[in-house]
Amino acid sequence: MLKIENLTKTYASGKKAVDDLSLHVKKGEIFGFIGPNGAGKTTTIKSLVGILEFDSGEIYIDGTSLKDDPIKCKQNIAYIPDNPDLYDYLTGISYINFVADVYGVEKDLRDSLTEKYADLFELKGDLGAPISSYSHGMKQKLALIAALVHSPKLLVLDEPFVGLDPKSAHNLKNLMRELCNEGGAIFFSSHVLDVVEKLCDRIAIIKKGKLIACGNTDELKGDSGLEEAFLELTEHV
Amino acid sequence: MFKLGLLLKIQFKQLAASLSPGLGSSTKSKLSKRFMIFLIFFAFVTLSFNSYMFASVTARSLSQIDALRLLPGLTLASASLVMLLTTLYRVKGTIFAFKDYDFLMSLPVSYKTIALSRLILLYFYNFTFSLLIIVPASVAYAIEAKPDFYFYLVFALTLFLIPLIPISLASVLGTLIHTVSFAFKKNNLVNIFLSLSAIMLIMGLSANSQKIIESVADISSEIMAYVNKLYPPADFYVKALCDESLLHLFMFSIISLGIFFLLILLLSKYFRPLNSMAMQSKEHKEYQKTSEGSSSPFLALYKRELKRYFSSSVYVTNTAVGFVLFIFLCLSLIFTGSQKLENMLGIQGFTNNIDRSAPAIASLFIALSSTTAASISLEGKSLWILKSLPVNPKLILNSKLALNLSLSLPTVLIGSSVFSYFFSFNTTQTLFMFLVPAAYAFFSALLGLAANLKFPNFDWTSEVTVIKQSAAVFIAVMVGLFAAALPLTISFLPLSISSSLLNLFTLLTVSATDLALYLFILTKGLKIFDRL
Repeated sequence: MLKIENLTKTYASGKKAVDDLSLHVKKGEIFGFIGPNGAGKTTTIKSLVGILEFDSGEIYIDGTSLKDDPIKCKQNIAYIPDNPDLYDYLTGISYINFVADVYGVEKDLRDSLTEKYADLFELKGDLGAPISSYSHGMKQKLALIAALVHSPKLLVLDEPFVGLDPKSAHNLKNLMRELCNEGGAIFFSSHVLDVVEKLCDRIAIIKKGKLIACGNTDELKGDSGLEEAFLELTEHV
Repeated sequence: MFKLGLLLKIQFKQLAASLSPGLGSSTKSKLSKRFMIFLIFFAFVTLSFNSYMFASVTARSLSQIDALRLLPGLTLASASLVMLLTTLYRVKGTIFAFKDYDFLMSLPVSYKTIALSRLILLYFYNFTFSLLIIVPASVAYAIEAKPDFYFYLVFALTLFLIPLIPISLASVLGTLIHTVSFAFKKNNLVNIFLSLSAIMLIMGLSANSQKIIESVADISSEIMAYVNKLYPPADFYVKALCDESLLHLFMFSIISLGIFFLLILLLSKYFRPLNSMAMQSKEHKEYQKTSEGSSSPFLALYKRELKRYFSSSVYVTNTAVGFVLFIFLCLSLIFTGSQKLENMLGIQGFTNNIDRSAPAIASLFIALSSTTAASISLEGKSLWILKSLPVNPKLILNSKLALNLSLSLPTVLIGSSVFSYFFSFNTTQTLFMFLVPAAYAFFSALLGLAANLKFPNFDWTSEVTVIKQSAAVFIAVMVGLFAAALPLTISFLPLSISSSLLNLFTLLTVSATDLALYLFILTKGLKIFDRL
């Protein structure tokens, strides 16, 4: 579903944020992407969803090159950043409709999916209110609903559980598994290693822009658990 | 005082950062920074030079009728009105509803200190303006009047006091507008209406003061009486400056400081309630499913632009003034005739060759108004949404152009219809009356977008920064103004060139520039957008 080949991204300041990174996320897989602060996680994520240009390498979404056909790639992706700065001047429902319009979601399907996910995240009653009145968690939920309304094949999430209440976080975990069971894939970054350990099929660890480890969760965590393995790898590699 | 100093330091650092947004240490960034410094310097020099030239001509005219002492009062009144107008825009975003409010209020600093730091920021903007307008005008006065040392001493002292009253009045008026509009459900639209009304009123007064300067043949005492009526402290200022009256210097100082002190007291008391009110959201009814239809991607983007535009009173009042003034001009043409139009524009007898100049006059108002010049920067931290959507960026940029055109083209349609009907233009004249301003409508939209693509700023804390004091807006307004003023000036020159030929030449030149700008946006512009 997602293939990153030799991705390199250097900022104008000269800092190499991502250095020759390659990885592969298969269909039906929840893929965790972890690393210390400033390791290059967000830069990688922003590159693969088409926000940031990259210097070299290739990114394929469901077999299509992001460089060659970014619109087709984006049509299959939903991205939620770590801090969802949404359009404060729109109401929740206007934002969902805007995203659905751009993705070309049929009205009936859009309505039923909006209702389903708004009920699940308990945001239905607030959809008529301006986003400026939403809390951080409500914005996070709205971004999730708008992302799910166009039934993406690849869900890219940057710290998705920050700001979510326990029930919503639980529902999101179930949804992630549901989406993968239906043939989709999830690529997400998080610092909450417990969640990553329980949720992910495979994990990649990045440090200073370089991939330092990648493999099945069980293999990577070994007997000591993901936290120990993470500390060991990031300190000594 | 120490904490006030710290707050001011961080505010001025924010201001400096907003003037050179996102600039790092790369060669390109350094070039952009140099260009920004050049732009600011150019703006300052242009403003000062114009102020000096205007005051110099007026000083000579007034000197001939022995009424030179009118000049300081007129300068003070005009500058104060402009300060009042520009501060009105800044009240929201500076005194309340500013982005780091939560952070500042959580610090162990008194509300009074925070309020005072915000007022000092307003004072800084206006004091800079005073230096650029009043100093050159006063130099022109001094060259003509040759005053003694006392004048310079009093002038230096009063220079620091001049911004205090306009800031106080604008703060109160701006706060009132926001407070009143908050009582309404559609508070943004009420806010836009009240702000535009206040601006039109202040501009109307300014237009009258302009007329006074031109009517040098009038009796000077009557003019002075009008100025004093318009701005009462001007009387104390003139007497302190020209008559060496210490009593009037004292009066001017006491009034200025007293009003400002009152504002500090009021603001200290109401700073938190005002900000709480500005931030609180209205009670919303439980959402009920509506039968909203779906739209095409372009229409969805366009509707979003429209909602963004009307959600911000600062955005509307800054970019719609040209359109509103043009419609206002047309209405005055219908109801009061062409004489009034001449008075408003300050160009006597221009209706004699109206077929030559009318398209350029309309174009001047249209070219002044560009919504696109801030439209990219206003995406701010939400830019990720547009960049991750599965749409061709061309569609995004076109939706921004469409918003500008959907405001400017109907204005052209209404205004040009009124002009053509009122002055009984023939078919050719009518055609130019529509086509030339329409070409300028495209020009200002395209120029604004191109300028904002070249000079974006996403790190703003108040939208006023990108709407009012960004490089893109400055370029769009200055170039637009120059491009429209040029054919207008030519139309008044005694050249043996027919009006049709002049308008045809303007139309072709502007249309060719439009095409070049659009090609730039579709090629380099799209690449720039991808890199943002």
